[in-house]
Amino acid sequence: MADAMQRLIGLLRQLPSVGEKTATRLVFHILSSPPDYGHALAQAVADVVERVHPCRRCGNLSETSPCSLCADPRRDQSVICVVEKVQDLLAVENSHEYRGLYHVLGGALSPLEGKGPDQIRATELVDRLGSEVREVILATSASVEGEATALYLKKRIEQAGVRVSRIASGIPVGGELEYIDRGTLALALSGRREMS
Amino acid sequence: MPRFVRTEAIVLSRRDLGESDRIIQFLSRERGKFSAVAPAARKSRRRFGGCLELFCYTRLRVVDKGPNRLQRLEEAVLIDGHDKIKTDLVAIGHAGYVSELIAAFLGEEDEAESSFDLLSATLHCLDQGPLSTVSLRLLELSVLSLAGFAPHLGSCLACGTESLAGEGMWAYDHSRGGILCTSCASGHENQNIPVEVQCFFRSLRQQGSEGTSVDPQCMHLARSLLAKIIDSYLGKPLKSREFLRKLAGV
Repeated sequence: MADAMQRLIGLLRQLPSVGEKTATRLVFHILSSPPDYGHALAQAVADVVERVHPCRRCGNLSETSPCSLCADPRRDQSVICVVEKVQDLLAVENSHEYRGLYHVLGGALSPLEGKGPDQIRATELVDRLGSEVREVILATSASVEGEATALYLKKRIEQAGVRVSRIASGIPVGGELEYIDRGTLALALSGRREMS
Repeated sequence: MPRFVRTEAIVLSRRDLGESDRIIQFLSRERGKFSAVAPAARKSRRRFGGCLELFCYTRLRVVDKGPNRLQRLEEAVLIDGHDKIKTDLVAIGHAGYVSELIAAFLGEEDEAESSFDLLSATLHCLDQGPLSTVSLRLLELSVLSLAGFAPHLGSCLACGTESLAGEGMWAYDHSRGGILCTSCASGHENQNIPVEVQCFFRSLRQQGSEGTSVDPQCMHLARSLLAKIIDSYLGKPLKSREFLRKLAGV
C-alpha cells in the first residue's frame, strides 16, 4: 500500500470508533471520489484546526470571539446557563427552549480523578456575574461529578448575590414509570411541581 | 464456559469504554473487587438507569466469562444510591477518598468482607454529612490494618522500648513500617513523630473517634504521617486526597 495511504489510515484510526478496517474503507472512499472532495475535506480539517477557538467569554467553540451566541443582542443577557462541555451547550440549544447566554466549564469536578475547582472555568464564570445577570442555571450532568460541580458553583455564585437554579432531573419524555430506577423516580417525586 | 452470577456490590469507580460502554469497578462482600463492562451504559439510561453512579449499592447480575476475562454486566437494580452524600460537596470528597483508599489496597478478587463492611458503614455515615478529621484518621488506620500494613506504634522497632516512655523526639521509619526511639532513630533520615501524635494514634485505636480529641498542630502531623505511610505502600498519591486538598483551599 502507498505510504500516503498508510499515513492517512494511521491518522484516521486515532478518531473515536474508527478501527483499521473502517479507516481503510474511508481512504478507499476518498480515493474513489472526485479529487475536489479530498481537497475540500483536507481544507475543512485545516480550517477547523486553525479558525475554531474557545470564545473568551463563554468557552463555546467559535470562529469569532465573542462567539455568535454571546454577541447576539436578542438573547437574554440576564441569564447564564452553565454546562460542562460544548456538546452540552449544543444539546440545550437544540431544545429551542432557552434564549439566554451560556458558560462552558470545560469539565466537571471529579474526586476520583483529583480534578478540582482550578481545573474548570469557575472563576471566569464568577467574573461574568455583573449587575445585569439575574440568574445562573446549573445544567451540569446528574452524575456525582455533575452534582459536585453544581454544589461548588452554587456556593460561589450565591456569594455574588445572584439567583442559582438547577435543571430538573426525572422521568424522560415517553418513559414508563415501571421501568424507571428508584433513584431517578425519587428525584422526580422530590422535584415535582404544581400543574398550571 | 460463561455463567451468570448474582451479587450485591458498591460502585467504586467507572470509566468510559469506546463510544457508549463503561467499565465499572465494584466491591462486593462475596466477590471482592472486580470490574465489569456495562454495555451501552452511556447511550441508554433505560438499561442501568442511575444504578452505576459512584457509591451506589446495587444488586447485580453479571456474566462471568472465566479467569482473566472481563465480566459483562447484564442487570443492575439499585438498593441504596446514598443520595444524601450527593448533596454535600465535602461528603462527596470523603466518599471518593474512602472508595479510592479501600480499592487501592485491594487486589482483584481478594477476600474483602471487612473492607466491604468498612466502606458500606462509612457511606452510611456520610449520608449524615462529612466525616470529622479524627474519623478520617481512624479510617486510614483501619484500611492499613485490613491490608496488613498497620503501622507499628507500640514500641521501638529496633530496641523494643515502650513508646511514650522517656523524653525526646521519636521517629517513623517508613521502610520498616514503625516507630524508632530517640537513640535508635539518630543518624537516620526518618519522619519525626512527637509524643502527642503517638498518644493520638493510641487513643484512636483504643477508644475510636468518639472519645478522641486532638489539637490542630498534632492533627496536621498525624495527617501528613498517615498520608506518607499510605503513599509509600501504594507507590503513588491518591487523586481523591488531592481533590480534598483543593476543596480545602477554596
